[in-house]
Amino acid sequence: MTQACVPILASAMHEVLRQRCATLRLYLWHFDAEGRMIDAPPMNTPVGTLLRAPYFTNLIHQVSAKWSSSTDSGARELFPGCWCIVLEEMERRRRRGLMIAVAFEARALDAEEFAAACQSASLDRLATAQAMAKGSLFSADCIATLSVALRWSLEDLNESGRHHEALTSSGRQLTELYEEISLLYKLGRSMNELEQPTKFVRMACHELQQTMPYTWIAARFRNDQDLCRAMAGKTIIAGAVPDEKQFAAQADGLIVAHGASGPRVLDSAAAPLLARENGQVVFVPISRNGEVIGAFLAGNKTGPDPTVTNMDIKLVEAAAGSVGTLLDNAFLYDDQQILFLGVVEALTASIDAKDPYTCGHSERVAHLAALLAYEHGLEDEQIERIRIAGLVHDVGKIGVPEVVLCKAGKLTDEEFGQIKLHPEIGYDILKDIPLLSDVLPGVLHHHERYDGRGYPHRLAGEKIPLMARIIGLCDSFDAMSSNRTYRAALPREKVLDEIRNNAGTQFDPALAETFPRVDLRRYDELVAQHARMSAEGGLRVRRKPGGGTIS
Amino acid sequence: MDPIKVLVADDESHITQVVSLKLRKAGFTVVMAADGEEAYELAVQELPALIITDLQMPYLSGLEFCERLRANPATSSIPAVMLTARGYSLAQEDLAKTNIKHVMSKPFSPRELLAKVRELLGLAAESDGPIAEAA
Repeated sequence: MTQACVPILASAMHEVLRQRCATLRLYLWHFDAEGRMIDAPPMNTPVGTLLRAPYFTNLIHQVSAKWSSSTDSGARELFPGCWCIVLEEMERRRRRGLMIAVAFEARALDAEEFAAACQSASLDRLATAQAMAKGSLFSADCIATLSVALRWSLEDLNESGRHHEALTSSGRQLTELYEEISLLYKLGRSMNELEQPTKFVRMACHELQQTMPYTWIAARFRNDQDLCRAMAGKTIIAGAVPDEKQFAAQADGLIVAHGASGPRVLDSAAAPLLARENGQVVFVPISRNGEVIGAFLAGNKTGPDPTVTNMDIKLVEAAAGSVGTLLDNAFLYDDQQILFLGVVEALTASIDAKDPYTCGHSERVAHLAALLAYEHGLEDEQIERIRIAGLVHDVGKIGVPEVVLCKAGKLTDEEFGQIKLHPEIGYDILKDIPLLSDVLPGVLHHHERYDGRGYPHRLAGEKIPLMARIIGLCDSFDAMSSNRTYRAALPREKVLDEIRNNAGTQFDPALAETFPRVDLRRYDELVAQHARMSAEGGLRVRRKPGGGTIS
Repeated sequence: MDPIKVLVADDESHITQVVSLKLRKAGFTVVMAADGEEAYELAVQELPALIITDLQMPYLSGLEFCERLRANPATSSIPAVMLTARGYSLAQEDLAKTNIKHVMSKPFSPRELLAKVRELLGLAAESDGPIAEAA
């Protein structure tokens, strides 16, 4: 991993050294560990031309081959007065090259090698010597000093290169860690999305694939309704899997074969359809209550090092752990919802059982209230709470004597007074149930009137909770649309007229204006259904929240 | 008392940096090596009380390094902690040929590594450890 950036650094370091040598009027050669020349002095000066001509080049090559196997670096004399400062280029305590800086004393100009070099370069010896005398010559002492200074310079450059590499490596590592922390944070933060486990698993796969350099990341769940419920038989894939058609079958096979033995890395022999040749697949089982319900799979890592690392496995394990816990919680939440709705339905049934004439009233009001809330632009969650409030709005009637509730004739003031207590009785019955606390306003205030002449608190206008205004309107609509002991059902047009005429007095005018937009087809079906049930002797069969029926 | 010397060997400099920072702060002296060969040379020369080494290193793997330590009477009793980054574990028979007392998989917690070092050296647990839970 750290190797990749070294050649770039080495070449940058060599460039710095080359410039420094040029400034000092030294001439620099660079050889690799095998003695091949990588760089040589430029030919743009007479000295450069001299040094690059065959004679001198051969001399340098010969000594570089000789010196590359020796560990003794320092200034060596190539021929009388021509000095080579030999610098070892190291990487990870191995020599990766040799640099040779050439410096001349004045006496070099008299050497026969100098004459031979001039001849080889087709240069006039005297003219070249004169040119070199103007600043390209050093004393022997000076060359010794330069040799030491150059070695220091190289050591410093090496050191700075190592620091740079360490910094780059730490920076890269830090970037990866930030991504990983961010992934774990996202997983943790989304753990409360209990109602949409599929969305969570999709997010987990997507985020893993963004963070880890894998071609694909997938989650596969066993096709077992009891264990996996909504997730049973589902496959969620981020990226492109090798063979989508065969993927589920192959993944199921792996879950059966390896699920119980924990996370593992599978090679192409163990997962032939999933891992490319010589590739690997990370396999991490997803468990719930000690049972393997599926697995996360990550395949075909990309990048310079495609070997699976522990970090990869740990990240997938974190996702698998989160998904296991989330599903556990989601299923508990489901159970709780089913139980809760079952209790609410049972409550509703017990109210309706008291008064066969209002058979199905609560369910119809709940249905209408939800539709009106939707038309009024409320959010899904609020709509659901209003539906539940509709189901239980009349629960207080349990506390009203049956003789009063079912009386065929006109009610006395006292009897009417007893009826008028039902919102408060309902409130008292439900007030200690935490899951129903937010529907209490709908129960307590559904008989308030917009003009303030309702009961029990004579609230007016916007002071009446919206939930109660919605239920109140739907309650009246259903009452007018149903046969009662004292009158027959009113025709639809008449009921809608009543609502329009009482907008601003009994009803919230905005809701009264919205109400005609409510689609009443399902309501009419419910009316017919409840009429049949009533004729059969009461409302004993009710729908289960899941869709089936319970008796 | 002289500070206790620990050798940390890993070719990834961020690992040696993180580990030695943690150990130095806890009062240890740390020597660092960037490959298996250098690690062995330093181990013989410095005779540390404990060695923390990566598995995959240039020239000499962590396992080969520990085998050499075991074979050399001067270093055979130095306990070692092995760090592994690859997605598979070490074979028991490989570990048996060495004095590796503990294997930690990367990413590891520097705090847990320090606790392990203290444990292997028979030192008391750090006093500034995690805050005790109130009864």
